Amino acid sequence: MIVPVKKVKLAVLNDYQEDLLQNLQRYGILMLIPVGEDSAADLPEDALLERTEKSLRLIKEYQSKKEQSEAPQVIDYEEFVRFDENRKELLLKIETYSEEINNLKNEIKNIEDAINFYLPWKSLPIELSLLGRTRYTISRVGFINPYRIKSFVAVLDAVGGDYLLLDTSAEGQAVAIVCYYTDEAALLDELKNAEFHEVILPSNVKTPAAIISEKEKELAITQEKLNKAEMALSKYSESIQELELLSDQLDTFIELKQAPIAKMPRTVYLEGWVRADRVDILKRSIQEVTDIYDLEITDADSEETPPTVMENKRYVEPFETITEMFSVPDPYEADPNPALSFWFVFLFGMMMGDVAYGIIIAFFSFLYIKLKKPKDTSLKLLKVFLYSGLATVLWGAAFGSYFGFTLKPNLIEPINDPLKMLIISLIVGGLHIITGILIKAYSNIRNKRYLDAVFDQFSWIFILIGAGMLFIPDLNTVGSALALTGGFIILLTGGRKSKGIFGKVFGGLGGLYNITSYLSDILSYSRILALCLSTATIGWVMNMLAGMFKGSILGYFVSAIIFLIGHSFNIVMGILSAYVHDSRLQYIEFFNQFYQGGGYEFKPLALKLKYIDKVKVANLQGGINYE
Amino acid sequence: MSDGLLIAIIGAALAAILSGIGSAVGVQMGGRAAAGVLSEKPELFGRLIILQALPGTQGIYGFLTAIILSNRLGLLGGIAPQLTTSQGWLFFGACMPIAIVGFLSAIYQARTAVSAIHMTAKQPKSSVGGMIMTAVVETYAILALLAGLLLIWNIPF
Repeated sequence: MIVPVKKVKLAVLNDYQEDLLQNLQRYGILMLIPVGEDSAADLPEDALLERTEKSLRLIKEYQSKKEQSEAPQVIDYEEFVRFDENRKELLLKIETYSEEINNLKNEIKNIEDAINFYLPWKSLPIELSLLGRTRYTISRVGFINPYRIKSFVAVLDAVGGDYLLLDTSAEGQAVAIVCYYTDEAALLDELKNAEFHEVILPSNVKTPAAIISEKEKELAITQEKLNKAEMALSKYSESIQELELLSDQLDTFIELKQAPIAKMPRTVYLEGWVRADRVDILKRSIQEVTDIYDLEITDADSEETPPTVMENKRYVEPFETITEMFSVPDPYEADPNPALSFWFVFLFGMMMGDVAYGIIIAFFSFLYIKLKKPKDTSLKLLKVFLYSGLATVLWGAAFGSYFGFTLKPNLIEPINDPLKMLIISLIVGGLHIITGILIKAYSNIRNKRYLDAVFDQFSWIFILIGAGMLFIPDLNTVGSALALTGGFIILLTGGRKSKGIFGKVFGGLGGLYNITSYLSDILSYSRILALCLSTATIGWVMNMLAGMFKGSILGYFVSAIIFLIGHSFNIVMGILSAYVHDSRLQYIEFFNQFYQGGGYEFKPLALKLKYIDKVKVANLQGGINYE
Repeated sequence: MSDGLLIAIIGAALAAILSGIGSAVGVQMGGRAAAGVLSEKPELFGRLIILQALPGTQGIYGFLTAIILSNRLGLLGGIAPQLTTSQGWLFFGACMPIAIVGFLSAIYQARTAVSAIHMTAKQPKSSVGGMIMTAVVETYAILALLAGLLLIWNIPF
């Protein structure tokens, strides 16, 4: 149901601004309306928050699997608002280590690059300083194309000179050549054909092999240092919760600092929305801070749209996400969630319709909720799937379908009796649409527009039910009477809001023309049959394929694999189709009957909890314990 | 083997082939658009993979039609039934709705999916809206599937 909200105007003395806002945030009861100038100044906490997040990401890489599944983090409010300098020091230490690790990693990369540079020349047996010019000869090193070794050797033999073939690398075959100055020009000219390109090695008194082994020692030492630093950092993964707490604290603090209020010379003024049933708590939370305040609580005036607060029973609550994905309800209309929660799982179950699949969906949703402890939207969505899985079990039992095998007893077999199933789908569709019309009628009655409810809603319910009865021989007469009554009501009253005689006459006819849209809406529910058949048939095909291999041990093994993969595929595709088409039926066919939407969420000034699971806020003098 | 059976099997094959091609083309279009977005926003993978998969259902519907027709003819039991030529054409005709509508609607649905993927790239929260818009196109493939299946079940033979 949708909870009414009240508008709040509040002024307190300047001295109490901090305490008041903090107290409001603590109980999370007031959604502020921006007044005055926007104070979106950059705070030093922004940078600190960013650093904390960065360190958190880093340290989570060093966290062992065992440490990850922890009990929910619950702390007291007093602890939550206490800024502990130790946490900042912790952050600094982690940052120091992470910087060291980064530097060491860079160093290792540089050493490795150097080793790779010398590697092709490793078997060159002379010190590097001996390369180059002597009195009569010149020696060079470089790479040639490995496919041209033959022509390279031939050129050297012909022109005169000696060579060494060293290792190959990505750049080619490493070679060293030596020749007399007199032959140099001719040799270089010829070597172009062997795609020779020279490499200048830095002068050094050691051989390449010696340089490499030296660098490798250096590498080992640096690696050791890196390991030590990483070990040291990974010790801090125990204090990951401290960092998470710091992050949430900073986030909460920034939220508080950016609260949109107007500052006067002596007072601060703020406006906001509060749930009508929590006005008392608001008053008490102000009184806890100061006795001198001016508080005005009114209904929203006609120009403003208040935010929408939805409060539903535990079972219905997760379905709010489905509605919110379409649009947040308007604060003055009926809450669609209770009806939606029933129909969503009902239709989902019909579309999947298999006992085993339903158990698997429900089981995995449950497991994920228990193990991963998701929050907010993901948690709600998983609960929706959990309930949908249970509905799938019920419908599966009605169809007698278990992993695509049809067993007795059952009420109806969609594969063998598709026409009956089609009719059931359309009847279900009709009932779904009638539910929508009834909700519209309910909100008309609630707003004391009784005639509208009779003329616009009950007339159509008469027509739809009457038309349905026409197909049952015994109820033929009653049905046609009912449908005709409904039709006459629309014909006579459809144009009551138009002006002029023509508008009134043709308005009724136009109203009656809506029958086509109801018809197409109801026919749209034939997709239930299609999806139900597609899940059932693919499951059946997979069983058939798996059954082909039975006989030998290997055959049983193969058929088990086919069974497993085939049904997993079918479940995943089935969930995708059922979810999408179920949502479509809710949004387009069902909501179209009554739902307006266009509201916005109630987001009070509250503690921002991204990592902390719960903050225990002390009871407010007998008030509701609201986190 | 009779001509009728040949014609009916060609029909079943066309249902699987054409709608399969349509879905392959559609999923490919969605996949390319999604891959482009993912290069910049890898965190959207979960939302985009759903949008990409949506035009894939037509292929399943064509496959379904082919299987149900084979089952109706008793082919899966390994016996070749006797069909007259005109009966063969009747079954062929029953396969055409999903063959043609499945082929085209998969591609049109993919175009909507591509737009929805681009929309999701700019506004991740709107992905559900995109999914529903894409699913609306599929309605006609579902109607074609149902028309074909009801024909297959009710053609006298």
